[in-house]
Amino acid sequence: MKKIILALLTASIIISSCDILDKYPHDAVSRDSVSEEDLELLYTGLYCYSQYKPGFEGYFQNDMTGGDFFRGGGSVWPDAPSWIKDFFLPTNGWIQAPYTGYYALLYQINSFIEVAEKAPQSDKVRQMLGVAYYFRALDYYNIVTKYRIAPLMRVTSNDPQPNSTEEALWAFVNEDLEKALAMCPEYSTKYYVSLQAAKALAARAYIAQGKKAEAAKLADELIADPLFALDDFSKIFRGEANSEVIFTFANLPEENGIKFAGEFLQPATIYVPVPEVIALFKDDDKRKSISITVDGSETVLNKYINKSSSDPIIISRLAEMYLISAEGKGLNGGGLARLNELRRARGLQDLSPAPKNEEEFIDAILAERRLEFLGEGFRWYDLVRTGRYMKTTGLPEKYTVFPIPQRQLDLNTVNLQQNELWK
Amino acid sequence: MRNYSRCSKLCCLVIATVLSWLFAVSANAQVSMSLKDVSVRSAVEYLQKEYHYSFTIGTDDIDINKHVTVQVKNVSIENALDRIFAGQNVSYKVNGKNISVVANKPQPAPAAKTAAKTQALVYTGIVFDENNSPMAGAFVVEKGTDNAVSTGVDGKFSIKVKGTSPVLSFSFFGYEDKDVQLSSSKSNIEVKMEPQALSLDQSVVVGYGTMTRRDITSAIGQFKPKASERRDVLSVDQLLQGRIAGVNITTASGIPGASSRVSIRGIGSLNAGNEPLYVIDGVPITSTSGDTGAFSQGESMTGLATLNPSDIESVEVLKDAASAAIYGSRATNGVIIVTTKSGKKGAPVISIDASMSLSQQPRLDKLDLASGDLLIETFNEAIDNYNLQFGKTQERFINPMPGKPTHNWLKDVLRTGFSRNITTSVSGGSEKIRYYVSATAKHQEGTALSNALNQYSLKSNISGDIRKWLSFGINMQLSYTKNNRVSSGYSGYNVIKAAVEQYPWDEPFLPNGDWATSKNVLVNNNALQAIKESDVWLKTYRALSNAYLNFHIIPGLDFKTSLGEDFSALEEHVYYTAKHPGGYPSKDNPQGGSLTDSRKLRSSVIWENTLSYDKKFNFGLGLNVVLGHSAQVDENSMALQRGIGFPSSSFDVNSVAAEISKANSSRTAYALQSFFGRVNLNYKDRYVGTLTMRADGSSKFAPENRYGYFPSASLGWNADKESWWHADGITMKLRASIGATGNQGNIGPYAYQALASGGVNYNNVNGLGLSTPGNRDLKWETAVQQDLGIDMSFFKGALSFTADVFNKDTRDLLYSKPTMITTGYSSYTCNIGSMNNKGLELTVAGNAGKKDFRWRGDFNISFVRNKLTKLLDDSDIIMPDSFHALQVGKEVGSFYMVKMLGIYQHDEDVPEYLYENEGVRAGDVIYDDYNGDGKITADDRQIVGSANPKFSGGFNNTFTWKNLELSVFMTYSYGQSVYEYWTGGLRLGNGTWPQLKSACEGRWTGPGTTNKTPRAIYGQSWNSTKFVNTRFLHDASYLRLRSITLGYNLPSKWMRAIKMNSVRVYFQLDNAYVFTKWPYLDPEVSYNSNAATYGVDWLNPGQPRTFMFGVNLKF
Repeated sequence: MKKIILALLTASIIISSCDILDKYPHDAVSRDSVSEEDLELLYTGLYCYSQYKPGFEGYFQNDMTGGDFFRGGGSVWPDAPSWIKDFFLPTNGWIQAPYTGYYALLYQINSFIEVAEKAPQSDKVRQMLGVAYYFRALDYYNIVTKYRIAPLMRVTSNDPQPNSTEEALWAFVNEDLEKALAMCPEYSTKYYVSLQAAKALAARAYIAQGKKAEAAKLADELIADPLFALDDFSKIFRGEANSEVIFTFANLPEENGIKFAGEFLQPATIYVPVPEVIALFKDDDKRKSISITVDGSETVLNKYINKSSSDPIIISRLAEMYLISAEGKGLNGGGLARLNELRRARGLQDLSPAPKNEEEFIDAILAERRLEFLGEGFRWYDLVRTGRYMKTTGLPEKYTVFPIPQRQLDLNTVNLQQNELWK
Repeated sequence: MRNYSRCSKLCCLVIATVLSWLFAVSANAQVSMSLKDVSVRSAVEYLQKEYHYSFTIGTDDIDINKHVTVQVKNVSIENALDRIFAGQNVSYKVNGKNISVVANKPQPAPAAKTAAKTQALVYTGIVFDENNSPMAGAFVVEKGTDNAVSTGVDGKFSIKVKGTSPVLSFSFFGYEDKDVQLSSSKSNIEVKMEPQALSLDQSVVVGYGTMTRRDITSAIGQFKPKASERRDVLSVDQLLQGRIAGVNITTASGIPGASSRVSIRGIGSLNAGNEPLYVIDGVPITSTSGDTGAFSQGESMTGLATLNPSDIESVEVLKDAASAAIYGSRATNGVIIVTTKSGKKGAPVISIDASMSLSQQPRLDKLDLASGDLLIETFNEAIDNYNLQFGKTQERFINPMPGKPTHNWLKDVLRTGFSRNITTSVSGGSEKIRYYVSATAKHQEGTALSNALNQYSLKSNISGDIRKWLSFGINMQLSYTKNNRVSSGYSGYNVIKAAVEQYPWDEPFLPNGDWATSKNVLVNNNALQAIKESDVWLKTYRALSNAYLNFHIIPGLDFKTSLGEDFSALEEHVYYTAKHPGGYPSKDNPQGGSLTDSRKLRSSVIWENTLSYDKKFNFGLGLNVVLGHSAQVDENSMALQRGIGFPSSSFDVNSVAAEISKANSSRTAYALQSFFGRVNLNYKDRYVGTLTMRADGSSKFAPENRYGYFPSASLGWNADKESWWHADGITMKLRASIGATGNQGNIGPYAYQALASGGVNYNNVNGLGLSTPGNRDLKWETAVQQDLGIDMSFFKGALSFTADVFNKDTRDLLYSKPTMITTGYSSYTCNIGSMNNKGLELTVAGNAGKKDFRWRGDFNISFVRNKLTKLLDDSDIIMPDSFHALQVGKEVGSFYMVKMLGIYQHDEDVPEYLYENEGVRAGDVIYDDYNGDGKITADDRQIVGSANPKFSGGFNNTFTWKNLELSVFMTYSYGQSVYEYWTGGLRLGNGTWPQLKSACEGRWTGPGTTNKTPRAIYGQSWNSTKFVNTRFLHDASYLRLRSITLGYNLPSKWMRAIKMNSVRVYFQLDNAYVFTKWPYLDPEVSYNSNAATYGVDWLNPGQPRTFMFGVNLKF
């Protein structure tokens, strides 16, 4: 019997000596083992993160805060400005979520750039780096347009970061855009970043900075590019092949796709276009039936309709280039013709009466952008960058900039300061 | 490595098999006793109870009141008797289990003997235990003499009595002595024995062994459910509610199978890993949620619901570090040891418990909706106020159906639940083997339509002796549970919330018979449609078992090897028809309908080996040593697929789905390895001490920080054993302990590892992303606890009293710390800080009575104060959610929000800034401008209360009169607050939600009307959602009349006529009434159980009021 006990004791010692405590996950690898060989995997990861990190709010915020939507259902506010006043707060999750998304994404981009810059610079690596710079430029474009001041990070860091100035952030956007323009691959499919996508983003960033000529030049290049032409809304927003989209995130549901449709359609119908914008759609406007529809008791946004799946997230399409080109050239520099080209493609008449001066022309462009891009995340910044926000909404100046989320201020009391307007 | 351990297990199995035939040596039964300074009578009774011997001690010359000490281990019965009767000149005759003891003395004169015989009268009778089962081996003594017999297997006895006015004294180990005056007219006697209230000789289960209460030096609470204390609950945690001081249990929902929050001695840790460790028959089990996560709208189901409460023999709660340290890991939050019933030697006893009950949702009047007229009146007042104040011309509302009676949606979705439960058990045993087998069928209906839980379980406990040096045991439980679920959690479909948020004129169906939905007429989801157009259930198959072999190597030295497992398989089915909002047809799902079908397998295997040694030294020192090793591996895997597009609602498998829209699988594992030891010392029963040490390794930590070391020490002093102690009938014991315990619960299985995860795919191409930063410095959370306790009993145990004070410092708290997003992550897992719990626990138990009337009472109360003492990086305030804050010096679970001070009664009272910029007017809420800057912002948040009670406990009273028994049980909790997160029905015109009647009727309408509820105002969130504020924070203190039970034991005369041992019938009213200021359903609510974010209500269904009728049969 003692032998048996001895055997059992030995067995237990054997068990204890072999380390049962080494357990590793089945869906991840140690970060130390990630090397240059994994660059392509990390590169694909960047697309995934860039697509979903801003969250629904990140893509939609500008429509909401621009006053084009109000909340439906029982939590109704009498009008968009009163909703904005209640939600445009440093403490509101609606305002906070995209900020954290932008910086979580930045971390992934910077990590990728750190590995890729060290790798041998083959053509493939160069192209991937170009795309990473594009993503960083897009990320910082969103940050600077919304918050004006924010931490500028070229590399990853765990230290508390201070805010950089608006100028520094724009300069950084421009620097990355130049690298992207030099390194991105030629267009192959709309689901991947291309040289053309970089041009479209650069045009957007330049017009925002008032660099009208540069913006118009890039926009015109894309309009002239045989790969692209204005196309039907029904193709653009119903997932069909079209010649208009320059870059869109595939946003597949199984890849952390963001579901837009559920926010706009019954049964939830959280966000509803305001009556004013609904009334602006003329009956012969080809965009109307895809932009809005009657669902149950409400008129709702109709651009995103895949409820149990998800819709692609369009980042750049040619219509924006027409409008940037028009704005960049100005009323008398050929801009009006550009605007009318787009209007005709959308089934509308030329603008009549024609704008009398630059100011009226900008108003006309903004009106067109409002209809063209309803629900695509442009309105608020369009009003802000053209100095029309306060006049249009009747809201005070502080709503022309997003407050830095209170939570981030609480977590970085060392270096981070709230925006002056929000102090 | 995996193969290695499998190989070892196999090895163990082979050895066990070999053993069983290799050593065919027959053996006499052996006994072990560890009794100190007890009467001979007690020692004999101990043998009767533990080893089922039957004694006849029939002479006048044996002193059964003599005190002896018997410390033997695995000796023959003769050897044990030698010790018991040491110093007395006796001889024994052992015939199987029947022993007769006679004094060796000269034969008395025959004349005298004859004379004695002629005087004797013969009395016969039967002795019952508290459950009216016949009691074998009870001792019957003629008082004042040494004339004694014991009862047979059937409980019957027969005694020749000599005295003129004889009194029979009945006794049994662990039971109160009982004296019966005999009268010559009645020669047949029935006696019912009652268990001792608190016996120092009572055995208590501790980790890896049992001890007598006398030897316990630490704080251990025990609950042995008696028939009168049973409640019709699904899981052991609910059964414990209010029973043990220092154990605070809140049942956050009345949905069958929903989990409770159990906290032992305050908040154990910051993460959700606040639950104690449950050890069932030696197997540490998974008590956490048994969901696969497919159903996001329900409350997670407790992993404890699969253990049948009626199989429970006793529950021990190890509260302090000294007792829990032997379980080192995970013991920070205390340990709950559940011991299931086992068989005893004797004829088989069959027991049947059957009950049925009706249950209803109480307090529904608290959710009465404003009628159509009142609602429109309020809305229009809101619009008038708005138009007047802002110079607008917003249109007023018109009642679409004036005069239409309010439709009661709650009636549509709630019901009277009918439940039934039947448990049958057979137990018994022979010389060498003992068994307990039970089967249960249970059907418990919730108060919400179609919400029901069905359970079938089988349980068998078998133990026995293979050889004189080898014994074995096996405990097994198999169970099947099907839980039909409805939305009840934090979800828009929550059955009560969706039923309450309807306009008073709306109904579930349109006139044409279609569903009314939020797409056509309703303002909110149709609660009835959500239930009827879905089929949501969770099936759990679970096997929990444990088998051991115990080798008695030499007297006193034992080696025990035990293999335990906890396997469960879960199947979750979430089906929405095309008429459910979750399955409406759409562009990508033209047919409509959706099915999420998911499976989860969980396995936990534990192998433990212990070596124990027990030795008594002649100079009065007793030594008991345990050394052990334990290895545990847990594995989980999960697979989920979602199909969309079903041709009709009768198809509900994914093979017919038009498309699989989601498929997913995952797998995780973690392991624990521990080494432990314990030394118990006992010097002449006066001084007892325990030292334990445990080292635990967890795969969740980096190799360099993998092991945690958890020592403890405790001392006890049985003052009443001192030679100078003369207070008869009073005992006193002082205890002191200090020790450390660990915790690693609720951090990810790979928490320390910095990982790059796959699955970060794009456009159907594989991608990789940096998913977790990892933290190699992560280490065990450790709690150091000191405890001082006193146990006293008076009047021979009729009144007992236990008090404990404790101080518990928990350091290296594991927490997912929020961090600035510029680091790339919004949080990372770290050892964030320290906290302290201080507390006082009191338990008083007493019993009294005369003749047929008896009273037994238990009262317990505990006061706990929690304080966060340190946070990493000197963080000021960390907000784990929108309602709570973690701040050094404050309680964990503190509410942190803007404070409401009252209502502005006049416009002049409103500060100018608020008047101008925020549009605040008379009738609006006054908020406390905490930082004094004239504005109300997030900077004005302050700590305003806590989700933790100041004190809590329970009070039980049982009255017995003859065969009738009335038990009244109350639980209470004082000082905690709960935030009503569901603010929809209280907004008074901000938004167009249906409103509660109480809010509309209580609204401010002019100066002096109220200081509590604001005015109705359209489009302004100042009074409602603009700030998380104390308008929605309420005192949730309560005193709950937990249960009233009336039981009746049918007289045993009748029983004998129908050849049954006992029949008990009972009625129980559970959750009879709750006294509380909480204005809504149930004050014990919270939609999550995390300590840092506790106490937030989302109209969770309350605990039902249940009326039960039941019967227990034994034959």
